[in-house]
Amino acid sequence: MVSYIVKRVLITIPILLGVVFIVFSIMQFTPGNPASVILGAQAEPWQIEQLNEQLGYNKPFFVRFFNYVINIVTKFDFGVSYKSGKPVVDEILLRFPMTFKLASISIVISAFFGILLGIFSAVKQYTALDTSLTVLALLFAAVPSFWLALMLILVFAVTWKILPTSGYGTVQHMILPIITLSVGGIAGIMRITRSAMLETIRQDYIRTARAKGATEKIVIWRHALKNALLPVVTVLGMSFAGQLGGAVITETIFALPGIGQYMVTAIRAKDDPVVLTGTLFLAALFCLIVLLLDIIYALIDPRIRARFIKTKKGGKAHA
Amino acid sequence: MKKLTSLLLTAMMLVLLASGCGSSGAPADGGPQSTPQDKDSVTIGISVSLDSLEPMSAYSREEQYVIYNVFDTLIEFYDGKYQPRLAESFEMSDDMKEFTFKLRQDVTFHNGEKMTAKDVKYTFDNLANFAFWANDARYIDHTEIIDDYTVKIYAKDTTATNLVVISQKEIINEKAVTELGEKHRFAPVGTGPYKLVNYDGFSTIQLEWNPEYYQWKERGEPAIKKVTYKVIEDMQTMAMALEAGEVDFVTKVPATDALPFESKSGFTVDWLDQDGVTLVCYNCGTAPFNDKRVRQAVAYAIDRDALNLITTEGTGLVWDYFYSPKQAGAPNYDDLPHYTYDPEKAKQLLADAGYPNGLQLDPVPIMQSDERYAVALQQQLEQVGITFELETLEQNTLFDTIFAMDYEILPFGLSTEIYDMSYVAKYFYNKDLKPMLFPCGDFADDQIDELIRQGETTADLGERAKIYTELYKLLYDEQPLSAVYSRQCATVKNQNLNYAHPDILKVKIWDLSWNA
Repeated sequence: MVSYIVKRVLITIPILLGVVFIVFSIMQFTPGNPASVILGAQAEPWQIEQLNEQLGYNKPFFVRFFNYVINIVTKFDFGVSYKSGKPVVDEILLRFPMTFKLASISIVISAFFGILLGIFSAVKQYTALDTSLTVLALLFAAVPSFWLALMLILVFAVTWKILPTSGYGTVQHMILPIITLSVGGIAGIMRITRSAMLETIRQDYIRTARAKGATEKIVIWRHALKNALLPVVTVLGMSFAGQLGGAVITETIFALPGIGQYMVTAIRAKDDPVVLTGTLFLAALFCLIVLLLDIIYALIDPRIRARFIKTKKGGKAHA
Repeated sequence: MKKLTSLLLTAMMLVLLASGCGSSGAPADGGPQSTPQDKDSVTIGISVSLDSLEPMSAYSREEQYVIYNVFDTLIEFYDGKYQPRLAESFEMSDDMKEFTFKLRQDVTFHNGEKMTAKDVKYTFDNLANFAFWANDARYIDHTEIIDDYTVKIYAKDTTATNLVVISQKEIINEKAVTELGEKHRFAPVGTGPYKLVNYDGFSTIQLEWNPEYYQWKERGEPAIKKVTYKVIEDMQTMAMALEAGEVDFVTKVPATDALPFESKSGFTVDWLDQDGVTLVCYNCGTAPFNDKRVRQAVAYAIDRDALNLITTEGTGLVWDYFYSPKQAGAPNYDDLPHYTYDPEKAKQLLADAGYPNGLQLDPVPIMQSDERYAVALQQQLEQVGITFELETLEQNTLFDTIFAMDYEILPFGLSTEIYDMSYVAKYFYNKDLKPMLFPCGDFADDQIDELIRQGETTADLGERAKIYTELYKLLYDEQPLSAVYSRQCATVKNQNLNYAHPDILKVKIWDLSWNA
């Protein structure tokens, strides 16, 4: 298992290099330059040229790319933001806790309610409850997050005045953003849980368990759910990874200083160091999450776990 | 099932409990209808994230809202003339190249340092070293200290822009800037009426009044002693924060967001003019718009009242020249000729120019934010036989297109916020000073060049107004671009908050006060 993890970590390095190269290339070919964004429409050509020169933007593509990579490897220097002048890695680390908090709490809530409702829906297939939950899932999936966010603010902050409209710092500030992020997740997880449960319930070993006299509760919660969890865990992991980089709308509407909103602002401002470092950071996180998912699979499914166990007589581990 | 139900109920209880816990982030009691208990404090909403709180590296207008209150300038263009600030008096030579300032002796920086001529010299000697000020370094030659409180600034050339440049430079403290370095960006030390007490690094800036500020002796203490600036980038959220009472005042609110507040109780909306002018620009270097008759035809084909109504719901101001009446040297609008809406005359001019059957133009590039205006314009020009498709481009792509002059006609808007006529006049100047987004293609006229040069090099504001009147009469005929309306913005505030001198650019905290 340890050697497998080490191999996976090493494979991540060329993946991240590839990601940086692709993003660098895309930024290079998109129109505009940081100086014209910073100085605005009424700047003069020589001002644009001068600022781009100061920012190092006029250097050739490969020179900038290699400088960026070498600075990271030798000095752990990810550059400074063209716009704010602050070291990019400091800014990202300042913002990451907010995004992580938002994403992790909402994924827990999505998982809790999604799995629960998915089980109910599967167990009570084709009943009124199943139909209602299906409609609810469709509704949750269809509602745009920006609309939901604004409606929640309108009701809870403006009309009832029990929660703040935006900002951060207290538990109350986090409630509406977390609800906004969780709703879409609940829909997806509910549907995948239902689907996985229905497939598992039809398996022979479930029929055997029932035949042996196990209660329905034990059949569902101990036997069926455990086996249905693999695809659910995959969806949870991917959702979490997606939310870490993609909660832009929620962060913007609720004025939360997270990574998503920071990255989008940087893309618009052609702030290359921020875009590159942010992408690198999120790509590394994504790789880590995928690795963790693989480990979780091994914990859940003994068949996968067995592939990593060495034989007692010193045989090779099966990767 | 029972366990599950109790688990669910427990979870719900925990959520409700959590919402009651912790320090209160909920809005103030009573919302926008009431005066807050802290009558000496105000919360101002800002819609753009701030990258700097020091003047030398602040690019956005929103950063200036804070900087205007933390820093001060030698003089200030206010109410149509230059007024003393840190300098109690100044003299300008006839050729506008030498400026002698006598400084006040009762000014201290927020770090306790007394302001002297050394700080003024440091400020102007280092213009080239600061990103946002570097452009203006080309106007200033050198600065000379006469004594501790007298300083002379020498400009390189004779131009009215010199005084504008000098009046817009906040005086910085040499000791603070050199000791703090990059940290000064978010821990600024100024001489202004308010000083920074806290910045959380993201969205909340807190200022408190500076009891040592020299103007309190004349004005008396300000009503507002504590200010919180809250950054909320989404305008919808900002509007709801206003309604919930979390924010008391927002400025530069776009018309579409400000209009609903006019009918809501508890709010006052003040419309402020001349944020910028919406235009139709022509590439004057290529056919068909290299013929001024075609440009004039478009000017006659535009129904400005209708466009204003459609695009801004009537909140704009019909304005057919590209300048602001608040700019130093501005001509009197009523002394200038104006285009009327006359589609028949437009068709006649097109026929005279050799287009009796109208014109089919190449796709016209626009920004998404200008779509409504562009579609209305397209329909109006269709009435006189000028037809084209619209091509929506991303901002950077559009700027590249304009820079490459790859357009025939361009629905566009430009800001007129700069305080001197020479800044807008340069858009029609065909030599050297073409800005990046010169929207008139290769427009060139020697007579217009000469008038622009005269306007720049004349000191007397009355004389300059005459020169610019003559210039704009020529521009009326040449029509290198057609102005349509001036965009208006609004300040939206709690109705119990008074704003003594509404200004779209400089929101001075000392002008704010709560009703008793």
